[in-house]
Amino acid sequence: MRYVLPLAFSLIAVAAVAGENDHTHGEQTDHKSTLGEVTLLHAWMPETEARDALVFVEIENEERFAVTLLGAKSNQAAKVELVGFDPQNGEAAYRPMPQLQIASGSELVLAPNAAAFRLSGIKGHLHAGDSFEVHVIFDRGEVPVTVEVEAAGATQHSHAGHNH
Amino acid sequence: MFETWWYALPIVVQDGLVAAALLTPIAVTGVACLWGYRVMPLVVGLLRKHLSTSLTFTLLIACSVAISIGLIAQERGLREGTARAADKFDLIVAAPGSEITAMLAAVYLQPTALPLIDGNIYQQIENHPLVELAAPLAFGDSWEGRRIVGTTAAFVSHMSTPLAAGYVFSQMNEAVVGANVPLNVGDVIAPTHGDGDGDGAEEDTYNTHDFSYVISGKMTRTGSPWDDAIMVSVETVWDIHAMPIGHGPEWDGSLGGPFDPAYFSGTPAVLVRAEALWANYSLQSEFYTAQTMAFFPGNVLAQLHALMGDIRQVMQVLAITTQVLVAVAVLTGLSMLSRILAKRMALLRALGAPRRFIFGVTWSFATILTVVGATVGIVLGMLATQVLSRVLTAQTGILIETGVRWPEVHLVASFVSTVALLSHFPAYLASKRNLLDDLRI
Repeated sequence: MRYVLPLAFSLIAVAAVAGENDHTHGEQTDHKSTLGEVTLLHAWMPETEARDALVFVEIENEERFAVTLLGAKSNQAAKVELVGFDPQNGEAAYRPMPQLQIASGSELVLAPNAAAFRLSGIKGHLHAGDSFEVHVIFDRGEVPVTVEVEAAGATQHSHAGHNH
Repeated sequence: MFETWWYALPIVVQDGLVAAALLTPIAVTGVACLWGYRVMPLVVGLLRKHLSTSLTFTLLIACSVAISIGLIAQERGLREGTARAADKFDLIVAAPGSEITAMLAAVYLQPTALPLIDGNIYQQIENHPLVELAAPLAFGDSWEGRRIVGTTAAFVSHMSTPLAAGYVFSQMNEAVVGANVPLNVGDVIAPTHGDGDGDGAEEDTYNTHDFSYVISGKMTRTGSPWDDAIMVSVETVWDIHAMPIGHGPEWDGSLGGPFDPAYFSGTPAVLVRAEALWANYSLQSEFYTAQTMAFFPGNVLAQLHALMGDIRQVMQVLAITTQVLVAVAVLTGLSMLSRILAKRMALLRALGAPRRFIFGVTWSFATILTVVGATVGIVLGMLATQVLSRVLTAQTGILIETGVRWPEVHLVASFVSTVALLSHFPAYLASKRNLLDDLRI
């Protein structure tokens, strides 16, 4: 019976992986922003009618020094916070974080069930295919990023896995 | 306006109000059809007269409710239990591969072959300014089927402060046992090579190390598989396997870090902890490289729980379908019963009882069966869940605790209310029967 737990988790994991989309094709430079040698890729959020939503993005730090992510701001929402996934008793929960350090040569992936930007008081209903701008703030400046609205229930950017 | 008021209420008040709202149809119907009548003596008499039929209906309802309650409570218990077991594991750094496999090995102590992290990488983790605790884990030995894990004294203190008894190991031959291990401070054990799953004494004889541990301490209960584990110094595990013990010739004999990369024998997983959430995420970013992967067990579990949530929804649909089918069967039975009772009801009407009285008697009869069946179902469901939880806890080492909570109360309240509303139908049929025809039966 010691195999009950790994078997159950493995079956669930196989189901999860089967649903992933990791194909590669042409470059989409529209999804890329840079601040010096810091690159932000594939900012996205799932479509939602709620007034709060999470925005995700991949950040690569190719600088020779660490950079600190401080937060973000957007005209699309009353408030934007940097939050970290911190489940309580098996229930999903996000807690605000003051900053995130990204070491030189490291990649930080803001993703579901991880770190994210939480938009509160979203103005209007964002539909799949819409996009809006978020200004991501680092200790060395800020950079505008285009956030693509994906279909409700999406778990990643529709172009995830592309090379830019 | 309402939304603001509602969310300002305490959660328990919100849940109580939802349950009350779900039960409102019963109260409204009860008052509307029973006002001014004393139907209970007659209903109790009918229940006694048709005891076996009433018990059958009650049992059917109880079984369907018990299945629903059991499914919901068990799923939640499993979700909370697995999350609680991973609670102490903030961040795991391991060699690249499957996060789930590494989590199963490091958090749930499932025997798995994992690639090792070398001494240079471990040193980077250990010396990182954001790291408060870095503990290597080393597997390979067991005692009577219980895993012996090599680690540091700081890790044991992180898992259990204070200890239930004794002290954390400070010598190479000392060990700390989990709460469920049937050993006490001062006992001596001989480790067996391997995960100890072999049943044969012959196998154990060939694999027993020429070494023994003295139990120096016992942890408090964590609700995780670590309650069945035995923790020793990582240096000892390496040493009895004839590997470098993590320290050079100038070592002063103090157990634990800092380790010398040149003498570090490798570790499949490192528990890393930082005080602040943001620091843990920063560390994850930094150690997610070509040589290592860093992940939060809680986050991996959340993804698995999300999938379990989908399964839960399917199971809930099946449970509700079962309840609806049982309810339909019971109401059909009641309609047939009302035919059997037709002559008695016709007699009552001939004596002057109004149609609303007949309606009230029939509706009360059905509703009492439903309420009693649902109550018995809750008890049966919880008993079944307790038994299943104990079996799963024994099999997995993960403490699974269950109990009736508001979601179950809401489910049962909505079921009872729905059946009470559907009971209008047989009650209406009973009250509309032709008086003369029924008197001739």
